[in-house]
Amino acid sequence: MRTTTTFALFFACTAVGTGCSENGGGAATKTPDSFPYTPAGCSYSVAAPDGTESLTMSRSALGALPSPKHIHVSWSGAPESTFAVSWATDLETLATQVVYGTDKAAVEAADGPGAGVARQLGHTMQLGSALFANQKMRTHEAHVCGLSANTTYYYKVGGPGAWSAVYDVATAPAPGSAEKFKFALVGDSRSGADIFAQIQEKLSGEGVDFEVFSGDFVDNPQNQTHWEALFDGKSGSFTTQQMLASRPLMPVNGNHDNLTAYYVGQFALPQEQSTGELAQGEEWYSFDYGNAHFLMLDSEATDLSAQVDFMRADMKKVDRQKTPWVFAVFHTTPYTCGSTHKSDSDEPRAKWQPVFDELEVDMVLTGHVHNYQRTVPIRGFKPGTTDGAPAQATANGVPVKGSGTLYVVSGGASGDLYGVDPPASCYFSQVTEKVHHYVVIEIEGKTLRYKALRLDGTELDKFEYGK
Amino acid sequence: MPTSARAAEPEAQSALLDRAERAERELALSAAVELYAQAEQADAESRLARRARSRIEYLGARSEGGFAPLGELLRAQRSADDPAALAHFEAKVSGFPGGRVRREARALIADAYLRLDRPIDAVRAHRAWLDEPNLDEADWRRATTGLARARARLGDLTGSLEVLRARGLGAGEEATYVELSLVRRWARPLSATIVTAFVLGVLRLALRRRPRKLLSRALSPARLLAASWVMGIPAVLAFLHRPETWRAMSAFVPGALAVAAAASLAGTCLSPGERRLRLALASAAIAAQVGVAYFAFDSSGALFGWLVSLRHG
Repeated sequence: MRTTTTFALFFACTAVGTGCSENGGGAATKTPDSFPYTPAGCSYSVAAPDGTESLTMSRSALGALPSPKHIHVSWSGAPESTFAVSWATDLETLATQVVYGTDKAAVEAADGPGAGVARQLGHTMQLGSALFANQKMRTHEAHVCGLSANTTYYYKVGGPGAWSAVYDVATAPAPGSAEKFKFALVGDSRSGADIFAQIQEKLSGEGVDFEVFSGDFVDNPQNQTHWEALFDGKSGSFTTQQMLASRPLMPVNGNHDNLTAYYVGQFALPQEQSTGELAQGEEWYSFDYGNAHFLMLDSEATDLSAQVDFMRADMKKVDRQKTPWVFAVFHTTPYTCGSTHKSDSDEPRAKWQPVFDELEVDMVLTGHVHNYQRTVPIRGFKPGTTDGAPAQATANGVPVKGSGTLYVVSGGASGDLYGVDPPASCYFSQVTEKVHHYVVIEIEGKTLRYKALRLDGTELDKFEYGK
Repeated sequence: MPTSARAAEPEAQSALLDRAERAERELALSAAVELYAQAEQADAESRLARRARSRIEYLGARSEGGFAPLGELLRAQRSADDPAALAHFEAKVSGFPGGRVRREARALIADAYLRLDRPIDAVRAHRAWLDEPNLDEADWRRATTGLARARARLGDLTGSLEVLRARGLGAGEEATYVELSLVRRWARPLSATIVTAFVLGVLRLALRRRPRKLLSRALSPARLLAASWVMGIPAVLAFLHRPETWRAMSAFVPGALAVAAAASLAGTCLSPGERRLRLALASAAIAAQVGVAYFAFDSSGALFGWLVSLRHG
């Protein structure tokens, strides 16, 4: 009954946008029957991960430390019309609201919905770990939908009495649009929260629209203090949160994320669940941004073949005339030129490369090995083997008229780097280097501009090609 | 709240952004900031306006000295592989005002000397980087690791490890590499000595005692086949196939040799002296095989990869 009342009130508040007050505070209660729910105005539903200790919709309760922290944005719905925001507070704070609008001053002044400012209520989860019983944490999640494409919105999260600072977030260009956009590839921050922060500062300066993360955020995903270190990272006066609160970050599961509740619960991702998929549909997913399509896969899954069906079904919905660029992102690379983790590459290569060939995926963006590597274009296997066959390429190792797929390893955000052999020692390698780095890819219509930069600003790899 | 479809971003804004980026590439940084500001104002609510704002903030945070040091830094980024240009830039950096650009310039110089394999210059440059005030944690870690790497390249492995351990980085991958290099210093000569001693010992014994008979026995097809299997196949697997395969083989081969040695000792008609000799030979063979295994395991990179996986997952 209480659940029903809460939900009726929640939807009424959301629909009306003003004039409602939430339930009073109190301890979080488990409301398993309430989930999944459809956030107001959204066309998708939201569930909570396994391992959530308690779950409730937004209430007004504030704890002793209610200030939102670790604010970061992502997408569960279409990037041109939605965004999701997640944040953490103390355990007692249940206020889970986001107020937003295109007028920064109005959002700053708002204490709820009003002129030019809308409000959305979200849900909050208490997460815990069997290994670290004293590390319970509260995460909050709200979904905003029905936005205009190509527009900057301002928002703040929390609730009356405990609002965050105001951040901006921009929606994507209309699907299939040829307008230019930039995204970044970062991976394997693990023991390198400080390096990750420095990369975020650089990426902010690059003006990227969003980031894809190739897995392994932290060393121990069950240890919330590792996540705290990551989200609290600083580079000089720049904070990791400054970047993550305004540029969506879309991650894939790494062997050090391991689909733990802390990983799944702290990132709001698309939840269309396919056969064999865990993490309420967040284990693998896809999204479009402008004229590019992203296949976000889980290379750590027990059976990789389940995602073959997903990829084929998903790509049937993609019109390659309107969406010519396709990227696959996952953790364990199918190609690495060096001894560390080499054997791990066999399975994704054998099971997935034929699908990437079939679907004519342009680039495969991965991590796992803590260095930078880029292959020549690869298409098919050498006869009788599961070793990829180099395809036609320019002198710079770039595909000619979509001749093959480029495989990138970007594990450059880690504190510890792994050695890598020189490109000449591997038939498939174009560039290899043991270095902290990040990758920025700009798409403008049918032109792709790619650069990998060391943290000292020098270029590690750079090319441009079209189709 | 506007929810209708917004028109595509104005072309004027995109063109202004292109002009600003071009000005930045041409190192006209004040002009670039002005153009970014114009691009932002062309449609402040658009997505591209954020890109302009980000760039203004980024450049603004590096505007000390009226952008002159930043201009020098951006120029140096393009010629960081040229030692002469790098040395010229290093001389200039001492005159930069303290701040972000000078710190980033120090990082560039230190990194570049390491890439150019100039360890003496790299040690100096990393020390200068570490001497910069207000280094953040990432810079400090990069500079420390780079200093350790430069000292290792100079052959000062102990000093390299001390740098890492003194700064709390003794459990990292770089320290693993240096530790392995230190082990390599004695393990490689020791392995080479054991293998050489074994081969020379067998030859000497063979030549002193019934050489023709021993040689004809040793060179029998069955023994040659067994020897090539024991010694050759793992090495081929190690260097031409997968280091992981060799890892398994390197554990297996000494065991196989031990079994072979035990079998060779099983004869009942051996004199005590003959038995002792065979036992000594079998032990020496196992030691030599372990030496060969170590060489292959280390040289293929598998030993390092295994240690990293063991320590860091």
